[in-house]
This record gives sequence, C-alpha cells and structure tokens, in this order.
Amino acid sequence: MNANTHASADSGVDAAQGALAEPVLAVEGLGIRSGDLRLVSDVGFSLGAGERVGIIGESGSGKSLTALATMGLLPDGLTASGSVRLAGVEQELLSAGERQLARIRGHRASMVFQEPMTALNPLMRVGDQVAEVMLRHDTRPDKRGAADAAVDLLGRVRLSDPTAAAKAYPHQLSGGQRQRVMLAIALANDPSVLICDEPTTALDVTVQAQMLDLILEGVAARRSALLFITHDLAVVAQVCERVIVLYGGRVVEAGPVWDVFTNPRHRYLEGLLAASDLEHGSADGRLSTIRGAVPGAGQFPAGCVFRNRCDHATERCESLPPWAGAPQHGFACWHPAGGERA
Amino acid sequence: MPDAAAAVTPLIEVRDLTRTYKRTRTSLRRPAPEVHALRGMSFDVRAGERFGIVGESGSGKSTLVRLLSALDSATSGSIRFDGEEIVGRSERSLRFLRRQLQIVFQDPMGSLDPRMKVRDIIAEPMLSQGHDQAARRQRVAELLEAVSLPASASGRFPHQFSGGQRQRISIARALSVQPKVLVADEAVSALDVSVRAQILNLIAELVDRYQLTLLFVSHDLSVIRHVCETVAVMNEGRLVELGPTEEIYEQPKDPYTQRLTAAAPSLERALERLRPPSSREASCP
Repeated sequence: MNANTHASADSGVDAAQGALAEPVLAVEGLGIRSGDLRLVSDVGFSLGAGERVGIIGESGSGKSLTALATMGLLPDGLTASGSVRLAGVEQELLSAGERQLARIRGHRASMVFQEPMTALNPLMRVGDQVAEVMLRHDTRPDKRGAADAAVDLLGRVRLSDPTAAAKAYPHQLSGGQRQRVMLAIALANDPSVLICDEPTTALDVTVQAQMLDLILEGVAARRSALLFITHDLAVVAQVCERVIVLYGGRVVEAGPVWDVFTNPRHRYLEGLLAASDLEHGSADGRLSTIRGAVPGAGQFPAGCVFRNRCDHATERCESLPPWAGAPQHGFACWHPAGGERA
Repeated sequence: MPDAAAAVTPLIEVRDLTRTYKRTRTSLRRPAPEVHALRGMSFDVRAGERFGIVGESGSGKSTLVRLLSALDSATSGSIRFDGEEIVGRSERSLRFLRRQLQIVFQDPMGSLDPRMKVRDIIAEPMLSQGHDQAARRQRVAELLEAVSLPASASGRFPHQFSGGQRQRISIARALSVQPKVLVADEAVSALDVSVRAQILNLIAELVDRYQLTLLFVSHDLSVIRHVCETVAVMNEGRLVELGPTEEIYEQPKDPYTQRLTAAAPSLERALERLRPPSSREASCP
C-alpha cells in the first residue's frame, strides 16, 4: 500500500531535522482542568516542518483534549494552562482571543475530526464549504476562483467526478467521501500544521487505507506537520515517524515509532502492546491483559498515573516519576521494562 | 473435517437466505427501489463451533444476525436451528430460540436499560422462561461471578460502570437462560485495546466452560482470527469465502478477501517497514 512507502521514507533524517530546526508547533506544559478535576497535566511536544507525529492513548487519556486545546477549541467549562506556539504567529495560542484564533484556524493550522457528518454543514453544498474556507482567509481572490480551487481540491482527494461532488450535500455522500471532503477543507489553505483526531476510526478498513494514503500525500505535498491522534497502534505505526503515548492525561513515553513500539519502557505501553497482540497470546490461547479498567476522567491516582493497574508498582510510584531521557525520546516510569531507574 | 461435519447434523443450517428491503418510493411511475441486503447465503454452523462473520458496512452481516436471531424475517430461504425451521414462524413459537440463542451487542450503553438495576437487567431474559424469584437471584449471583464482576454490582445502574464492565453485564444477561448459541455482534469494537483483551478472554473462557456455539460478527479480521476457527467473509450481501480462519487469513482466494486482509492495519507489518537498517540482520525483538 502507498501509505507505507511514505511512512518508511527516510524517517530518521526527517525526525532529526524536525528536532533541530525551529518547530512549527510547540506545546509546553499544557494542563487542562474542569473545575477541580485535572484532565491533562504537563503535556509537551513539538513538531518540525513536514514531521509526522502520533498521539496514542485510550479513552480518558486526554488525547482529544490536547488536540482541541492546541486549536483553541476546548468546550466551555474547561480551562487550559501552559503554552502553545505556532511558527509565524507571535501570539501564544492559549491566551489568544477568538478573533485571532479564527484567523489561524483553517489557515495556518487545521483539523480533521472523527465524525464527518457533524463536522460538515448539512445545509450547504460541499463545494461551497471547501470554497468558504478559502474566501474566509482571502487565499483566493474571488468566488469563481475559490469554486474552481474547491473542485480541484475535491479531485485531489480522489472524489470521482469532483464537479458533481462539489454540488452534492453531505447526506448524499458516504462516510469515506465525507471524510475526504473534510480533508480537502483542512488542506485548502496549505496549513503548516494538520491535526487529525481519529480521522479513520468510523471508516471501513479498505476505506481507511485510502484515507491514510490521502492524508500522507496531502501533508507531503505541502510539507505540513502532521499531528495524528488515534487509539490504534497499527495505524500510528503506518502513518507517523514519532509517537507520544498518553495515559491519564500525562505523557508516559515518547520517541521514534520503531524504538517505542519494539522496546517500550513504560509499563503501561508494555501492557498495551501485549494486549493488542492477537497473534501471540499465552499457550492456552488467552491474550495478555492489563488488569482493571481505565479510571474515569480525573480519577487517576496521584504519583504515577498507571500505578493502580501496574504489576510492578511499589511505594516509589506514589511520587510522580520524572522524565527520563531526551524531551523527544524518553519515558516516565520508576520501574521501566528493560531495567534501570528507581 | 468434512467427514466429521457430515456425520452430525449442523446446529444451524442456512439455505439460500435472502432479504430485500424496500426503500420509500421516489417516483409515482416507478416501483419503490429495492435494497438487496442478502442475496442468497448458505452455510452450516456445527454445535460447539466458533464461527466468525466478517464484512464491512453494507456487507449484510447485521441483516444476517437479525435473521439468525429471528429479529427480522427473511424474504426467502430457510434457517433451521437444531432441526427446526425458524423462517416464517410466529413470535410465540420462537420461544425455544429465544432461550437457546442470545446476543451481545456492540454498544454497551445503548443495549442496557439505564433505569434498571444490574440484577434486573441480568434476570430479565429469565422472566419469560418461568424461573421463580429465588432461582433468578441465585443465578444472577452465579453469573456476576462468572463474568468477574463484584456481587455488589447487582444493586447498581449501568451508568456506574465502564464500557468493559457494561459489556460484562451484557454477557451475563445473555448467559442467564443457559443458551446453546452466543451471538457477539461487534461486541468488542467499541472497547479500548486493554479492555478488549479482557473481554475476548472472558468470551473464550465462557465458550469453553459452557460449551457454547459462538457466532462472532466483526469488521476486524484479526480479532476473528484470534477467536474463531471458521470464518465467513461477506461482501454486498453475498458469502464470498468460507473456511478455516487460518487458511483464509494466510491465503485468501477471493479478490475481496485479499483486499480486506491487505487493507487491515497490522502493527507487525508497519514496524517491519520501519526497521532501521542496523537491526535488519539482528534477530527480531
């Protein structure tokens, strides 16, 4: 499949450049609260131009909130602290006003959501919706130009007969086609950062494969940085160069996909990889599991967030494990897989 | 295997099953458009078999589940359950099927009544089967234990549980009437990976313990491969391939099955392509 050729192409070189050059997107010390509940704590990462980074986590890990906060789209009642900076924008985004954010969203940074039906306007033809984002940001001089560009974009996300597709309403399209329209809108203004939040979770596997190819092509053509949020380890390995593992609203491990997935250090990631391995269970055919369930929002233990489900937890784990290793490649665990620490 | 299968009558025999839905009319002159959800399917399920059904949306797998559990009626064809025809039967005469075949659905929130306590949810299928209250209470306690939920769960409501725990409640409810067949319709698709492994293990354990016949419906071939010995691949209302799971997974013959296996994301394949040159000679970690 096409996706893989992109993903494997000189990932090491790209990752190194991304780390050295000025980052396109830099998130530091991001915290998100709802009243007294801490939902996300001290999340930090950066993306270089053209870099593809994945955030993986299960429900309640804070991965979607992290993405929303980055775009200034947190729901009412949630407050964010820390800083989010975008190259070429002087204003720090978390403290930016709605007006400033509106100039950035859909232009310098854009997002594809999981549910294409709720993200598209049901009363508007899809071609007009693609054109709208260009007119809003004045990247096309007039309506005619924007309409032509919209048809062109719909063609590039391989909608057959883009002229006819542009005249369709969202309900006339399938889930996969709607998601392509979303991608066309997100890429319309050549953003420097594209954020995808579970963009293929609602799609069939064959459609998912095509969609992943289109995302990779789209960011490669524009040298956009990609932040790809998913719960699916296989998808992240196919799409991204680096991965950030979230659990309980904290980064528990981060690094290049190959290193992190073949040599996990944090016990949560070790357990997650084992539990997702359907091919090598125990001798009696049972799968390896992590005991218990993911706690509810804000119910994670103090200290190491994973310690109430961890077989290696000791008293040491009641205090927060410090980050070990480089900012882009490390982990936060007192008793890591493979030894050392504590 | 064909010999063994031929020797015993199958538990479920499906022959030339079709289901056609009518859409609402779009024109006065033309007849209402039809949707052919099932276009003639035939297969057998042996007692004790772990039978997987895989397909994408629109393949007809949900229609098939509805017909097998007599929640919808076939347009034509036959389904024999333990020798008895169920197509065309009245709801009243389907009571035997309701006892012998139970379903666990995908959405663990939508399939549990939010206003009922867990003990009433689990006991509900037994009501129509004439168990008295003491027997029901006893059985609920047994079932909670079987699905590894604490006894204290019985007095609580569904919203007080996580997705995985709710799916345990659904499984306990399904097993309350001691069915022969358990139908799992995308039962783990909505669960987190760490919880999915727990529920798959639980299903495997219960299938062994109660010698259930398992019909496992999923869009995910790798999950089916782990759970089932036989798989039926569906596409556009047809059965495109049927056989031992391992064989079909390793050497799919039908072009659609080939596309499906190639498109399914695999961590192993993805990592193989990311393998740094330095570790290519070294043994796989």
